Amino acid sequence: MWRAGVWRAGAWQAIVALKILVVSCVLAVSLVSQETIRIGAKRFTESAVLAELMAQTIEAHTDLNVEVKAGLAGTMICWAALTTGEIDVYAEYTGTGWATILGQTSKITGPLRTFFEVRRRFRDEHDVHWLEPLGLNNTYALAMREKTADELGIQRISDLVRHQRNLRVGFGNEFGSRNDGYPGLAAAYGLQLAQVSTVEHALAYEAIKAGSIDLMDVYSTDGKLLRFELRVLEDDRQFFPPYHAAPVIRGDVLQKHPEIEAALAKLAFRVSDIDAQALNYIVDAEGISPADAATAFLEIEGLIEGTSASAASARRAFARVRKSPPAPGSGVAARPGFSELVAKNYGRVWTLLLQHIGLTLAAVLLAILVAVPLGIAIVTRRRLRHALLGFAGLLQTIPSIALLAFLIPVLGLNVRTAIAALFLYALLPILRNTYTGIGGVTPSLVDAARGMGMRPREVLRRVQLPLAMPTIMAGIRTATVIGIGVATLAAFIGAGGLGEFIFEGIALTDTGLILLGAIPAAALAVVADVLLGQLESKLRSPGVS
Amino acid sequence: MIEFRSVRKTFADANGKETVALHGLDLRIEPGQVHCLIGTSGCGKTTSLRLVNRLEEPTSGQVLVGGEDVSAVDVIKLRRRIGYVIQSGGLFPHLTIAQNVGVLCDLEGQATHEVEQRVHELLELVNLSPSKFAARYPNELSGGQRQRIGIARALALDPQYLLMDEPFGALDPLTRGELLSELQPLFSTLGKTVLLVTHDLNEAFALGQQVSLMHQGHLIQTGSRDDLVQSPATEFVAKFVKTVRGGGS
Repeated sequence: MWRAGVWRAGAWQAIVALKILVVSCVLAVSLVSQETIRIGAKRFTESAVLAELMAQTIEAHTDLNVEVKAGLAGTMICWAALTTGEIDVYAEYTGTGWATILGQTSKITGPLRTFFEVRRRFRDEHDVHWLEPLGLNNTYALAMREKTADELGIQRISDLVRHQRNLRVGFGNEFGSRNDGYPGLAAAYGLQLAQVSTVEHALAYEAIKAGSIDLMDVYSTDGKLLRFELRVLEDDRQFFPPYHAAPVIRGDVLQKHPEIEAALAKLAFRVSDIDAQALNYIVDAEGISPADAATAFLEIEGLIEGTSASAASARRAFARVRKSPPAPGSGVAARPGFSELVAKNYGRVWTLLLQHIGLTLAAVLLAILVAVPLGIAIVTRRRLRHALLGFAGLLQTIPSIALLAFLIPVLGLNVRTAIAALFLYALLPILRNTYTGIGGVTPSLVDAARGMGMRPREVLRRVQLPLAMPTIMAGIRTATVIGIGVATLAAFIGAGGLGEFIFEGIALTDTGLILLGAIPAAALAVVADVLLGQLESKLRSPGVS
Repeated sequence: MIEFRSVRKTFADANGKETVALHGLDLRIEPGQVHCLIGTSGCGKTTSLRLVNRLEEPTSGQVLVGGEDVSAVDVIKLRRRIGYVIQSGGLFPHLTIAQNVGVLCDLEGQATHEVEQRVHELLELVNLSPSKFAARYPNELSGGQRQRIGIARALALDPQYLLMDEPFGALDPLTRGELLSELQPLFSTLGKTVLLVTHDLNEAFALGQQVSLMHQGHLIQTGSRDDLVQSPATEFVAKFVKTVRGGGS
């Protein structure tokens, strides 16, 4: 006891000393971090590149520390982060500031008028300041293949009127229906395109490359414009609202560190649309990090000194792309090979595969719990049977995307919604096969079981369920295989799974990434089918063949 | 004793049209007796049988087993007191022979070794070697063997009564004759009250101390073999007995 007491006293002293050390470290870190400026970025390539451009410029021309917080999901989250002090600066677009943050529904035209109006309102209403624009205007635009545009002599949007009957057009969903999209554009230019179809935006690039459409909507700084050799048509009537990018900064930060404004002034009007296209391109298509791309650009433009080794390949890529746009398809060739892609994403494949299995498993197990008892119940209840089989059949006909859309308002954007959708799809095969299986048991066997004195639940457990088992298992197999397929859509609503690779691949027109999601998903379906088949033959009595 | 008192049974078809299966049946089956119901298909004999273990309920009238109105007793208890054998044995294909025979003992909560022992006895009773058959499945057995198992299963809880619905209907004549000659002494030693439905008069005469001939929902005549052959109650009985005897073995 005595010795233990001494030991304890020593331990106490050590703990107190450790505590003091930890507290002083935390204080030191927080003192330093007060001088750290945090730059936010939304979750897309250009926003990340612009954040890096601003961060590196501030770092080079002031004594401040800079930290980039990338991947903020959407404008409102980025804006909330700025106003609550989570971040201090980020790059916003004038049109977005006008419509989304200020909530203006009226149309505003003219780049300068828009900028000054937005700047005034942000300053007066939010004490947030727009610094000088960076130069690029990431607005909607219309694009055609260079070759077709040359042949038809189309430079400007008003030139389209002459060819409106013959052009095959693919517009994204949003652009096709938004007032500041095609409907408004058609009115402004007196344009009546005869052959308009709706194409998922990322796929439209492949369609225009393949020549199955001639005209599509684009974002004017999209890197894909370079890769696919597309001509952006001039908006000669200034229909599209301006979306000029500029740094926005909170008033208190600006007051305390006016040197930030001076530093960022060096970037004013230095990043053109073509520069932005090239920067986006080398990040999206050549796997260069946004930070390296920004460094390369700043070094080439002489905005920061030196030629860092880490950005060497980014410098070469940018110079090459900027000087001569890459030939169609060369971006794909420049990408890492499939085996490299697998090696790079190895860990993620496993994580997403496990998520995929988890989603499907949860949904199918829930469906078994619900559909097997219901399938038994409807064997003897005719009206309920028609109602339930009809309902489950109806669910099956709803396209998966639509089903997700219906469920989002009820359950939100999360894993539960994905599981609910998968569950609803799994119901029908299990329900129908349970009903068919139980109903298909030879009537004389049920009669024998009842006649010998089995209670209804004993007849079910001892006779009907074992004999219906192969049919019920077949329903579960079908439900599982369908579920594994539909679960790829979970990525649509941020619920994970192998669909993440597929959607990223479609967005970046990267076949390798698509395969990275599609191959494991298909393999999973095959393996699940085989395993369930084996389980079924294990459970099946040798007397029933 | 099994007794029918003015039992009437009607069925409604899908359109709600009524057909009469039994027009007021009165019949007594004495304890320990083997009684055969015979007649052409649709005569009401199977319906009569199913009224005893309440697979059907009478539209009017009473069915009594051991002096008790069957509608007054718990249907599960009633059925476990009455063995039930159907055509081809009605064996459960997913269960082994031992499991088929022992299923009721198991449901009654008997201990595993008791069930095993009972199954052993029953298989010996129906002349099938337990060591050879217990672990097999019904699809490995011949029709006659399956029928024996069906009978063994019906006897599992040692019921006083036995209902048999066309038990030999699916068997070839040779197997049928063999099984019949085995069953006659079995029934008399066990002393069960047996109600057996058949369309085969030879079978009825071979097994039944009493035979009841039914036609179109009516009971035409009840009596011994001699009664039916020597003093047929109606022209129909005479014709029925004659055709069958003429065509049979």
